[in-house]
Parts: sequence; C-alpha cells; structure tokens
Amino acid sequence: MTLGYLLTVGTFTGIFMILTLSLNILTGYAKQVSLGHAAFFGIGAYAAAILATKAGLSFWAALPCVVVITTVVGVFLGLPSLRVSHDFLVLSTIGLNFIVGAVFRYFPFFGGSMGIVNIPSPTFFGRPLGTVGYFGLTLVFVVLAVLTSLYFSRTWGRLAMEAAGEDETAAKAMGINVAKFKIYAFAISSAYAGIAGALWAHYVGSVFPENFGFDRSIDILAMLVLGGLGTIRGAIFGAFLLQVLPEALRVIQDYRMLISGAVLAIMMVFQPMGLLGKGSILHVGFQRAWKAVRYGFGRAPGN
Amino acid sequence: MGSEELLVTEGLTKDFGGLRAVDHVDLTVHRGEIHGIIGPNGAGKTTLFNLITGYLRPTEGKVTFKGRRIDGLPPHRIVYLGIARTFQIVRPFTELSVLENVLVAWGHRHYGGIGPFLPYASERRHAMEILEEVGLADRAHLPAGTLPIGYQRRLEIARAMALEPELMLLDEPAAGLTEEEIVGLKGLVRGLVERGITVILVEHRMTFVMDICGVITVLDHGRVIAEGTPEEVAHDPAVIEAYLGSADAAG
Ligand SMILES: Nc1ncnc2c1ncn2[C@@H]1O[C@H](COP(=O)(O)OP(=O)(O)O)[C@@H](O)[C@H]1O
Ligand SMILES: [Mg+2]
Repeated sequence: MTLGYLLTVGTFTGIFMILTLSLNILTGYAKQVSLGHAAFFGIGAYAAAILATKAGLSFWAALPCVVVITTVVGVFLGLPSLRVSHDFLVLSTIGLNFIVGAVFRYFPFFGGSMGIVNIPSPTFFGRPLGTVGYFGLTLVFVVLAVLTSLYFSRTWGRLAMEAAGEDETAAKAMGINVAKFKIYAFAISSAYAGIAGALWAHYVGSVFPENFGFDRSIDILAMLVLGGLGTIRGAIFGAFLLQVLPEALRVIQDYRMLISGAVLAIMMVFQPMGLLGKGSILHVGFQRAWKAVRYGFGRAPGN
Repeated sequence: MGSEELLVTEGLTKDFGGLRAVDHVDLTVHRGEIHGIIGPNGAGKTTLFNLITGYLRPTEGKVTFKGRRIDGLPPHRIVYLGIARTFQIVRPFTELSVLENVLVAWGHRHYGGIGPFLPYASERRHAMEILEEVGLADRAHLPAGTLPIGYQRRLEIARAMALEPELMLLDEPAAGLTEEEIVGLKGLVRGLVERGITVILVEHRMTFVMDICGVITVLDHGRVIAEGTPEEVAHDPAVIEAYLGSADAAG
C-alpha cells in the first residue's frame, strides 16, 4: 500500500464523514429518514462540476455558490416532508434518487450518461493541489463539519428539531413551528452535502449519474445507523468503518451493496441506536469504564 | 368575580362528521382562578381544549384571549400569546433527557430569527429551577421515556411552566396517579396560581376538582349543563343526572 493510496482512501472517507454528518442533522436530529441522500450529494457534485467546466469558476469561487444551490434545491426537495407522514417520506426520498438521477441522465445540460469530465483540481496559491494537498483540504472540511455540528448540537435549533422529529403534536405545544424546523433540517443538511459533492467532483475530476444513485444513499444511511443515529461520534465512526474496512479487506469490496444493506437491517433489529449511539452497548460500556477510571475501581458513584 | 376576563369562548362548536363533540359552548375564564371543567368520558372536554389551543378549527363560534381572536391561529402561535397545555395522554420527548424536555419548552422565545442557532447552555439554570419546583431535579438527566407515569405527568406540567404562560390548560393531570401523588399534584396546581397563572383543569372525576377549583363548568354531550361553585354544581339535578346516567359515576 502506497502513501498515495492511503491518502485517496482517506480523502473518500473524509467526504463520507461530511455526508454522514449531513444526514445526521436530517435523520438523526429531525428524524426525517432519508433514503435519498445521494441525490443531495449529487446535486452538490453536479453544481460544482458545471460551475467549474461551464462557468470557469475556481473551486473556491464556486464553493459558496454550490452551497447556496444545494441548500435551495434541498429545501425545495424537502417540501413534501411537510405533507407526508414519516413512512411516506421514506418512500418519497427513495423516489428522489431516481428523479435526480433521471434529470442528470436525460438533460444534455448535465452531460447525459456521459457525465461531466475534466473538472480541474483546485489550486492553492496558484499551485494545483496534489494528493497530499487534497487530503489536507478534505481534512480541513471534515474538521469544520465536525466543529459546526458540535456547535449545532448545543443550540435551540437541535432541541427543536429533535422535539419536532419525535412528536409533532407535542412540539407544537412547546411553541415550535414544526414546518419551519423540518425545512431548516433539509437546508442545513443539504449545505453539508453540497460541500461533500464539490469535494468529490474536484477530486475525481468527473461526475456521472450512477455515482449518486440509490445504492449510494443506502451506503450513507448504513454508515450513520452503524455508528449511531443522532450522534456526531457515531456519524464519524460509521463512515470510517464502512469506508475503510472494505478497502482493507479487498475481497468484500464487490459486495458493498450487500454489506450496507445487511448492516442497515442488522443494526435496526439488534442495535437501532448504533454502535456508539446513546444507550448502545459500547457507549454504556465506555461510560462505565470512564466512571470507573474517574471514581476509582470498586467505588460506585452516586446513582 | 370582578376580575378580568382572560379567555372567552362564544358559541364554540365542533362537528366530527355527524357527531357534534362540542355544542355552542360559552365559557368565560377569569384571571387568577382555577376553573374546572368536568363531564363524563366523551363529553367533549379534550375537544374543547383542542379548539382553544389551535389543534382543531371550530365549526362555529369564536375564542378570544385577552380581547384578541385566537381561533384559526396555529398551535405554536397560541403558545406565544400565553396559553400552554398538557396532554391527557402524556407526550414526553422520550429520547431527550428530562432537562432537555423542559429546555425545549423554555426555548420557545428562541425559535424565531437567529435564535435557533444560539446555544442553550446559558438557560439550563432556569430549566433546573422548574424541575426543582415540580420535584424532578434529581432525575434531570434521565431519558424522559424511562420515567414512571406519575413523574411523566409532572414533566408535562414542568414543560408547560417553562412556557411561562398566563393561562394553562391541564387535561386530566390526575389520571393514573395514586392518592398520594394526587395530593402532591394539588399543591403543584395551587403553586401555579401563586405564580400568577390562570388554570383550566379538566377532569372526569369530581373529587379532585371539587377540592381546588373556584368555578366549575359541567359538560355533557358537548353542551354546558351547569356552571357555578363546587357546591352549586354538586347539587345541581342536571349534573347528578348526567353522572348517574353515565357508566363512570365514580366521582
Ligand atoms: N378527532 C376526532 N375525530 C372524530 N371524533 C372525535 C375526535 N376527537 C374526539 N372525537 C369524539 O368527540 C367526542 C368527545 O371526545 P373528547 O373531547 O375526547 O371527550 P372527553 O375529553 O370529554 O372525554 C367523543 O365522542 C369522541 O369520540
Ligand atoms: Mg379527554
């Protein structure tokens, strides 16, 4: 394994960490289960690709536009969530994959099935970013995504989203405008997905409709569910496990879809809170161990 | 009572298909009182609450709070105007901690503008004070879903308190409580009035209401059949008839 290879794996893993953090806002906090998150990712990637190849914008100049475009489209795509129940939302988000995929495939503006190629690599002070530089760039965005997520988890908005996500009737009685907070969740989540998309497009250098299909959505959801819905540590850990393990064990790479699907199903049945989620076996174990270290073994802390 | 009319309903009516659940109810609640609403199961008490708090739109009639029409407003707007409610079947946010549940309500002043993007840490103390008042402080960090029913009822009231309302609507807060817990609840409700909160208390059992309410309105089949002090109501022939005629004459 060369350093270049490790950095490539690292860069993709970073992009998926941003995506799981993105989905964590929407599905972890606002409980709007999305099986169409790759569509939001794809919108970001295509927006970046078009701005770079057709408008000739640099990565840096395009990035704010990509974020605005994905946020606006994300809000628009989130509107059905105001009308349908949670179960139907799952179905309609599955539909999103196919709608967005079809738009990419059938409109010449988006390059059709030939995709968009020759997306330039970003430059940094006039010099193109190499593999090392791009890994560094991705890492910076992962850190930013983690920090902003940590901040958001401590805000009124997160509390309101969780309340509205769990029980709309009770949330309204707490003065929460449920529709507004659902739309906020779609907006914030889309903004992160847009950044992940731009990183992908400029790293790979090309975008194709099939990069952002239903199987990709399942991957992202499986990562988040595996790590722990509603937690930042879970989002990071899940993306790491499902992105790095298949790379390490090359044999199972061909069975990606199978693995993601199985992970999703198994976790939902046996550990719906995920490996590191609130109240999961590992989380409770870590808490016990931490208490033991802090208070000394054998001495039980109060409660 | 010469005090201010806080909440007034006029001709308030709600039809569910062919069923008239609330039938031309005229209700006046004065500031500072504990106003009981009793009636057998299915009398329309919860529906009346849903009409006042914006969960249902009236078929006919109007609701006025502090001189302002509020029927037709969405529930969260009505909260901002100063009316809080609890639910007959408790609805805690089970995955949030007890403290976070109260914070969600305390946050109602932060849900507009850029408020949602501000941290909540600085307001923890207020939420803890409320939990202390209702006796839940030592359970603040438990997931709300794990509380026994008696504590979940207290949490419902704690959240409503955190909304700092002028009027609080309690829907059968004593349901499922032991006699001992009901004594505690009485103290809690009286404490609300001392805080300056006007209370409308729905119950289908008479005893609890008789003890703490100044005025009682009796509903049956959606209609007001009696209103007055607990003594007046208890001796009203129409009330006795309604209660004896119904299956649960327990009160
Ligand atoms: N959403 C609804 N749809 C249809 N009927 C309802 C609905 N809510 C209540 N009802 C009916 O209205 C009547 C009054 O119910 P409710 O207000 O819950 O009574 P109470 O709270 O006094 O026990 C009952 O007959 C009930 O079945
Ligand atoms: Mg009822």
